[in-house]
Amino acid sequence: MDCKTSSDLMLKSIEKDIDPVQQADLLKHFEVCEACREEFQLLAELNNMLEGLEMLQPSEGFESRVMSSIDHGLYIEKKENRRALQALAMSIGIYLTILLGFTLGTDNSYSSWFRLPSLMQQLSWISVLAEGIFIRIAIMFNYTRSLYNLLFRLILKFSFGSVYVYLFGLLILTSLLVIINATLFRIIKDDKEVY
Amino acid sequence: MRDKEVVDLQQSDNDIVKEVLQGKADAFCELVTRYKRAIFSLCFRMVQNHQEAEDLSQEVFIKVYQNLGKYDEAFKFSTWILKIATNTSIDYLRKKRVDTIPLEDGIESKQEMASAESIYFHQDNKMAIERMIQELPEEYRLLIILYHQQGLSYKEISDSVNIPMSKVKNRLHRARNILKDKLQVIKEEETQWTAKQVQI
Repeated sequence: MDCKTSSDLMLKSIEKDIDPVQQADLLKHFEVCEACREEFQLLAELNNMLEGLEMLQPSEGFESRVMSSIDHGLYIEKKENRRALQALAMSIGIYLTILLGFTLGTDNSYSSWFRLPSLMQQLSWISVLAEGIFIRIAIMFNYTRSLYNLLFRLILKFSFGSVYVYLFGLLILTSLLVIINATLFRIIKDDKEVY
Repeated sequence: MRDKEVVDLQQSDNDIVKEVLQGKADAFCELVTRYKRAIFSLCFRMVQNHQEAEDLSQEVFIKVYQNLGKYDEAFKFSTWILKIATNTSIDYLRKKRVDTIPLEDGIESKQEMASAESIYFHQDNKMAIERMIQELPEEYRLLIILYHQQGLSYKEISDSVNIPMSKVKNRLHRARNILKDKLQVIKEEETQWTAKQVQI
């Protein structure tokens, strides 16, 4: 074994990552090479010194100082924000459902709920329904997106409980529905006057 | 068996992290108790000042708390917290070096250092090794602390300091060689010193 190989194996031996055959070869080399033997002794001593490094202790009251520096409400607020988001999603769901109800309930041309419509009427009814949904989605994204953003930011800004957030959302949506309802009735009334 | 029961009863780090994320901020105190010595030791050996090390350790725990939501359970919590401590210490030293240390402070003759080491060696072996570690370049010092004091594996160190494992091995190898050479110098001086004492 040459000194270069011996030097590599020394580290393996120090780290206890050496197989018995290599260890035996290393010991044989030490018998004939004093420099490597001394180097190994030095490395072993150094390793012992390093392994003996003590864990140091910060001063008394370290935990209290850390605990008084952290924001105890950090993860509670995040939880509440999630709840507010859920409440808002539920409100939007209710809003869309009721809006759909209005569409079906107020459209005079397709309001024959209790009569069996013909195939053409059924197809027409489905196409109007799909059109209504797409139009509302388009309107919601194009015109009311900023309104929802504003609402959402407003809700997140205040630390309401989820029930209050939900009631607040419902109140706003009810107001919107009343306005929509009144508008729809006015449109129907105008249509009747025209015909 | 009894010890095992005690271990089983103790909450795991991951369980505590979950509790904190569910809003129980007080549970974080247990993590501080578990890791304060490891973090403080690392910070102290990097900055060599008790007060600065305490402030830095506190900063580490605040960062850990604030980023707890990003902790990936695939890694050991100890590795993750040491990674934050490592980065915080390195940033601090970098900033400190830029802000305050004049160039002349780094100038010290090898002979003076060797003599100082020699004196330390006579006083206390522990102080000698601490001094030797202090004199290592920053990136070597960090690896020596993480490997020998914190007991991290090459892989864990590689994850902590974001360098490839081969580089970790090479740097540790070089760091040990530097320390070994220093130890040799100290020993030679010790021999000369003992010889002088005998003559006196």
